[in-house]
Amino acid sequence: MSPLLKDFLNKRIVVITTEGQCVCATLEGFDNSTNLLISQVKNRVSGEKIASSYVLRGNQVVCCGLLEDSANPELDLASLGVAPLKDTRNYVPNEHVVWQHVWAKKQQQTLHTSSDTNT
Amino acid sequence: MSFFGFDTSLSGQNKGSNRDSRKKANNRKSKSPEAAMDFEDTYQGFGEHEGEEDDYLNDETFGNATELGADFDFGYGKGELEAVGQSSVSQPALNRSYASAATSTGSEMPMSGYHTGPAHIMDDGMDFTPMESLWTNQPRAMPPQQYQQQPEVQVLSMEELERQQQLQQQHPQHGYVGGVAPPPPVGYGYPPQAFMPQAGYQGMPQNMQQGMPQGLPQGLPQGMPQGLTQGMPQGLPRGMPMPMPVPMPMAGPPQRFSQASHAVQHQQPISAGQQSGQASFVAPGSSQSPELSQQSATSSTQLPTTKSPVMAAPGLFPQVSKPPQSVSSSRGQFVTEQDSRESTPRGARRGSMRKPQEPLSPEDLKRLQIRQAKVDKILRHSGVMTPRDKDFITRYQLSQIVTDDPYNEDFYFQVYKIIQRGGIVGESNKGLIARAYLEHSGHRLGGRYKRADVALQRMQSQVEKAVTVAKERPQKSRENLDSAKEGVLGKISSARNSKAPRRQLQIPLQKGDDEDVSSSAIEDVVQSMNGVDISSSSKTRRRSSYAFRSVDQRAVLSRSGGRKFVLSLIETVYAEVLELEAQLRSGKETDSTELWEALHIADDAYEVSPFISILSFDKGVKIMPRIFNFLNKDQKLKLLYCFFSELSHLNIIVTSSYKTNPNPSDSQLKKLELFQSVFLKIIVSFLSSSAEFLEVLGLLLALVKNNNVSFISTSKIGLNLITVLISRAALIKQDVSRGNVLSSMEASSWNEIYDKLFTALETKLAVVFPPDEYTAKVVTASSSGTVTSATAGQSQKHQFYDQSYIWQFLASLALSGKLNHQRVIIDEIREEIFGTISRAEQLLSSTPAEEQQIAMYQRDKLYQDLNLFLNVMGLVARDGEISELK
Amino acid sequence: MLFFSFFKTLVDQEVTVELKNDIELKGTLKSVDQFLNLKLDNISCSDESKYPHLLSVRNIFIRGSTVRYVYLDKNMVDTNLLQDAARREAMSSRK
Repeated sequence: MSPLLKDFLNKRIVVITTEGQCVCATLEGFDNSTNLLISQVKNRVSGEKIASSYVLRGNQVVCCGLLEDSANPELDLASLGVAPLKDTRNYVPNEHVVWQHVWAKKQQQTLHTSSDTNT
Repeated sequence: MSFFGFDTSLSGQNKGSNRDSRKKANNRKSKSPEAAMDFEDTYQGFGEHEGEEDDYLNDETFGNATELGADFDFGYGKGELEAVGQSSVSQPALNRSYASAATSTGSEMPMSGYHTGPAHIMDDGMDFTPMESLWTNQPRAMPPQQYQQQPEVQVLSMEELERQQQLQQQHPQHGYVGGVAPPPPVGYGYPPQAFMPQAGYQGMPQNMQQGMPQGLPQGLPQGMPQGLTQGMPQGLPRGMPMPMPVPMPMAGPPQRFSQASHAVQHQQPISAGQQSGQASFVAPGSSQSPELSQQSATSSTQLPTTKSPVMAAPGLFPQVSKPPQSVSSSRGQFVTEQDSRESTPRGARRGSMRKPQEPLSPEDLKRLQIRQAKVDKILRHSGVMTPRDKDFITRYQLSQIVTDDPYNEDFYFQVYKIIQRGGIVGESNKGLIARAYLEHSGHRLGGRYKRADVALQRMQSQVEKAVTVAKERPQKSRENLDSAKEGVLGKISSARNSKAPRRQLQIPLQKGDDEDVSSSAIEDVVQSMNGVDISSSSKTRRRSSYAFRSVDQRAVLSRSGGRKFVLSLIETVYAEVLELEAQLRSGKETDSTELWEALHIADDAYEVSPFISILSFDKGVKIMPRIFNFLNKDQKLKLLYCFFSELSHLNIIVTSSYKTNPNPSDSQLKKLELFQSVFLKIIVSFLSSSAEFLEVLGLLLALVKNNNVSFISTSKIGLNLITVLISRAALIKQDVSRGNVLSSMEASSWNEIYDKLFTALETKLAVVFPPDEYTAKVVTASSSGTVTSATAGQSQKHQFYDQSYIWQFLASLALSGKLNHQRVIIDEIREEIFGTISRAEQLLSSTPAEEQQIAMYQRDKLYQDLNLFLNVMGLVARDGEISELK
Repeated sequence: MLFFSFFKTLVDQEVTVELKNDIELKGTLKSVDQFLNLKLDNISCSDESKYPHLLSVRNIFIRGSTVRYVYLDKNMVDTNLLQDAARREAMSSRK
């Protein structure tokens, strides 16, 4: 089993999810597919409490980093103007419009070439 | 693995043997968790029509091979026992009776204070002794001391039982089972089986009903099904255990609970009955009730306050969520849950709880606590998985990491590490493989381009060696030579100049000799190559290569089967080599037959041998050294014969010839470097290590006969290849240590072949020097790319085309030739000789002062190259002049 | 297993990992598992002003499935060896 997360057990971690959420929490447990059991879940930016414990599906985890003890930086970020994290899907809004465009262009080109050959 | 840890087969070890046969019969019909139920009593025949034999997944789901192990007892078996144990332990004075019990269970007895929850697994004597009190007919309210004494009445039978228990428990996989299974109700005539874990809730009421009418609420038995009485531990229907764990009656606040227990004590059957009968957690329930009753008996005296939190635990924390853990002590479970709620370390809590009640001495206490902590650690999650589960997971995990052959699964890592460590210490098989990569990737020597130099240097040293040996020779016949050479160089008086070198070369007598010899000599060579076995058909087929220049690589490819075919061929070759390397590593004999066939060297089906086309691709070139590791000498010779015969088709010759490719690109130059560093090196090392004189001659003959030599000599690679062959031949010829002089046959073959070569080159010797435009382009391309060997910081105009390979060629050509040959050579390239000298001299005068250093170096280099050639004839060029060597 | 094997050779090397949410993390590769989950040490985020979320994080676990690219130095890779490893993999899967 992946022991990579073992070092983080019972420590404060930062978790970034595929949705672009970023939370601080204590890692209580994990498994092979990175399902995480976390507690004392707080929003990383605002520090707002989210849940006292939470199970995060492995496929929602992007990364989790160990918070260093030195600073107690869990709340530092609220004041900074923090850009929201992107999700991992990179969804293109109205993608179909783009493809419509491409398709139309292609049609035009073929029209052109065919008309060229005709003339 | 069994589903949820259910074990359906209920091995006989925990049951009376009289049950076994019946159990088997039952098992056959229904392999459900309740398989051990008495079917005669309860079975209504519903299952008779199900063909469970066909349900081949049934075993997988429920398992039937497990022993009665970590069964799914929902806190009944051991938990119950432990809870009971705890209740008695909680009595302050209880230590005494344990002492007697300890005669069988050893010193751990006292350990099982009720704090030790799971530890009860270790010492069952403990567990059962208090248990016993439950089933005795002793009045409930008896004082603790009295209560403690009670087990002693049955000490003997108890001990026997306990020994059995211990035996069972020593079977590690069944630790807790052991703790659970063997209940002590012997005194009441009930076989231990009555306490089968599966039968947990069943067994308990049963016991209560029959064995403990006084001790436990009377109402209990009434709640139980009738069929579940004697000898039928598994009494409850299958569906019941799982949904039941909700200990609803227990969910109340402690007060209520104690009330309930009081009620129990006062024989209010309803609440008690509900607890033990309906709640699947009879363990807590039932164990609680005795505890409570005991407590109530004793509470007035010692422990009312300390007791209450303990009792609160089960009530507040329903155990619904943790049915499997119920295998471990119910007390432990409660504590765990409290822990999880309060986030306090269990040990600490234990310790704190222990103090007020522990009558032990401080040392003992400390020791116990330490031990307890250890046990807790070990048992924290005990029972969550069955040993089989653990085993399965362990094996699965291991299978992810470990393989029987890490080299196969982890090839890249393993070899990479060997290479990185640079430690090809010894000649282990692994080292051999790593070496194969090291050869041409050259990690340790700073990259592949230094490697190229190594290969070239080797060739150069071969030439130099031959030249040094040859230096001695001309000096012996100085008189003759002087006139000839110096005449050629125009330094001698015109009178001596009357000897025309050309005429000497064309002495008819000599020619006639040659012709005579030629047929026979070549025959000899060809015959000597017969081991190499070039079929005549392939020879004729390949004649054509003389005629055309394969400028278009696609044409060559198509004539050897097509690009796709060649590429797939390369992959086949790689596969074979990898296979062979794997065999080598595992110490098996290697058989190169398939590899040999994959190379298609003797394949006449194509106009150009596919092998030649393989060399058109970088990856085809790169694999060559590793191929050579596996071929025998015969095969290597054949391979090289094929190679030299079809040299004109070789892509690299075409791209490295200034005639066919006047504008070499950076990538082409890289290819050239690669070929030089890899393939040329193989040839050099093969020739110098294992080739016989005649074999070298045979290769040279193949080259001369089948190719347009003057075209080949316009390419750097081609020239290098010729140089390698003739310098090697010259070296063997001169080699004094060889003992035997060349046989006349060998000598005449050599003369014959050399003449052929020379004739092919004669009058075209000057073309080996590429034109200035070409060299300029090469210099530009290489200085912009990575191919250059120029020192960093050298300005571009000072970079120059390294002609050393040409001088090496000329040197070895002159070395092997006779005097007349040498004259011809000098005559033809006189321009170049003087051109080089004047260039060397100009370097100094034309460079600014700050770059004199570089200029000096370059000048020396030019002279050095030139002198390699001139030395052959006993001449030396320095300071713009050519003089005699010493 | 090939890439697992490959990434193991990169342990203790400096790599840059680009995630699918466009965050780039540079750090020393400390370990890798068979899912190609990565663990980096001493990370620095390429755009820390925009994404300060990982400012106080040095040691990070990255789920393999969310990695878009891993940028490597050229000389960390033995291409010949890698090609052969790929061939072996293909061979063994063919069998």
